[in-house]
Amino acid sequence: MERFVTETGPARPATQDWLDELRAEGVLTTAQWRVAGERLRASVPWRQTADRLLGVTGASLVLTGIVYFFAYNWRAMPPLAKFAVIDLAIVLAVVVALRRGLDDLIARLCALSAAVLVGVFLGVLGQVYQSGASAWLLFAAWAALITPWAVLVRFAPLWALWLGVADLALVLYMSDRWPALPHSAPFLVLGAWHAFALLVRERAAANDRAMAGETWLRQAILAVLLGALMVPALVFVAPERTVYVWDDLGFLAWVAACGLAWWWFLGRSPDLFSLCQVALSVCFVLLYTIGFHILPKSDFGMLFVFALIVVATFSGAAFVLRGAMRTMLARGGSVE
Amino acid sequence: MITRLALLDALEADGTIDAAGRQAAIDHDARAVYDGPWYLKALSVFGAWVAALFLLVWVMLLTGYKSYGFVIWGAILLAAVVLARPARRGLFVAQMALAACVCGQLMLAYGFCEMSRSLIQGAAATAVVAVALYAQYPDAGVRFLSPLLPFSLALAAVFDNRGAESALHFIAAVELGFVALAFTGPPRPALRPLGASAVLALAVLFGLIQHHAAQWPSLVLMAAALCWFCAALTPGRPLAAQLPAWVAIAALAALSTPGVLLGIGLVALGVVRGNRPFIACGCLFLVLFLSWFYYQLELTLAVKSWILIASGGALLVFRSVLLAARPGDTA
Repeated sequence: MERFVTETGPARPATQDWLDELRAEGVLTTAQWRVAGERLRASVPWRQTADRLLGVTGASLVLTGIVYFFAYNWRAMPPLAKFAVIDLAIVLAVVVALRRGLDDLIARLCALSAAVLVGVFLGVLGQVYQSGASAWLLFAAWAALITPWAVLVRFAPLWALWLGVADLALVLYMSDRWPALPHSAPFLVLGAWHAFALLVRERAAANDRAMAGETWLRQAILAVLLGALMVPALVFVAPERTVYVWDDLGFLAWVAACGLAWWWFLGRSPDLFSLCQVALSVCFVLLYTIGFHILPKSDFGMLFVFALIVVATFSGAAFVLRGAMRTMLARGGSVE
Repeated sequence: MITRLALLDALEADGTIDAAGRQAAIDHDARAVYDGPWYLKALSVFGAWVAALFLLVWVMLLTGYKSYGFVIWGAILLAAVVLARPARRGLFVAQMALAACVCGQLMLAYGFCEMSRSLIQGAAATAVVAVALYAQYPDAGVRFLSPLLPFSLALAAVFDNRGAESALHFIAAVELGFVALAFTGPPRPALRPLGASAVLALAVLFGLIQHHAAQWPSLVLMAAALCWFCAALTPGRPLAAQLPAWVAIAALAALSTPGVLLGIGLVALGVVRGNRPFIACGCLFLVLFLSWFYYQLELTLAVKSWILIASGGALLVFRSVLLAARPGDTA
């Protein structure tokens, strides 16, 4: 296994695992290890952790309970009462959010709940006044209505909800309006949409420290982007049917997305987890291509060769990723 | 979270270590091998797993599905890996060795079970192989995956015998013992992969127990483990000071499931040890097991809704009491 020296060791977070290693190798005596462990535990933000866990769990349970309550009584309620209840819940959530200030976690969770309730309101509206409108319109309206909140609150889970709703609207629109399109086309459009979302997120993170800290949103957007573009790429490299121009375009888009993501997340905005996603995507497409072309035409001995190829591919990915990690650490970055 | 340097500075400032000790720790850190964060290791393990499956199919076709052939080939693969000790011979060889280990263990397990016609004997034999492999082959991936095979066979044996579901609690006790051994008491870095593997096994077990067996033995087990963990965190604290935490744990055990207690315990363990994957897994288990618990309650939707509102409200009140008791204290 390739080993190398970390250059930012002392700047990494102290953990009990690290203290255990120091004790096991005799750097600390048992008494020193014990005192160090107590100091480490004293530094733990227990109250903050308990506050978050209790707040999020409690609010989630209460909200779920309210949803259950209305689900149980739903049929018996007149339409006006249904709208009144949902509107009241939205107003209540918004008032609590505004009173607590939008930097507070509970306030942000209230804003998120209000955004979810907007979707419930639209769903009920469609149920009560059935107009035969397409489903994509509901999701498009939902995304449009919560856009100002998402911009105002700057809360990553709210943006994730917004993007998920917009994705649904886009996918439903395509299946409704363009049913004759080849299978790859919706994936290509979804990939392009997520590429745009990723660009916007990176731009926003450059100006907003709170958003910059929420790397999971970027990683989630990239996962959908690569996953969507991999579908036409796989059709292109291992064709079982007619290859359309969408598949060619999809393959090129996948190559471009991998290349650009690698360049961006290695040098401009270092993120090893995102690089890992790119590497996994490349490994998958590469192995699928090789497997598709050699396995069906060979005897069972080729299975052994393919196992070697699998190991070689993932070893190569790990080797390259460790090189990237070394570069990040050398520049003083963090990879934890 | 406090950095390593800040902790060393604090220890030097209060006289726990001297300047030489501080420098020794920094030097150790600079020399320390670092294989990367967990997801890089997960990528390697995933690749090895995929390769092992192809390897397994190849050997199965080669041996003509004969059980003794499986045992012989499995033993040869494992012996080759252990004797060659390829952990320091480059990434490709190390990953190939991991794939061969997984494949060899799967073959031995299948061969043992076929030859003895008994899942329990197969589980026992693979447990012995796993212990030997753990001792002889110091690779975190192998050490994480090896104990999962006898565990899976033991589960299969339990469900193969009708009415033996209570044995799940015994397996839970054993796995809990592994977690305690790896993450509490004197430092045992070599046992960490076993502990992580046992955490995964416990989540699977508690899921099965929630569905197939009486829950109280595992609830008692988990509550006792959490009480012991609380006491271990605050050594020397009088019993009276521990009592509120124990009462809270007992109340939680009376109202929830072993999986919920596992989630809470894992979050606490992750926070104490500075282990983020544990915190993430704990939160995930908490969400999954809580949702499942409320889903499984044999009550009407109306009663469920009141229970949910009451329990959520109780947590929020408890949070407010905590904040009011010591406002501004975040450490």
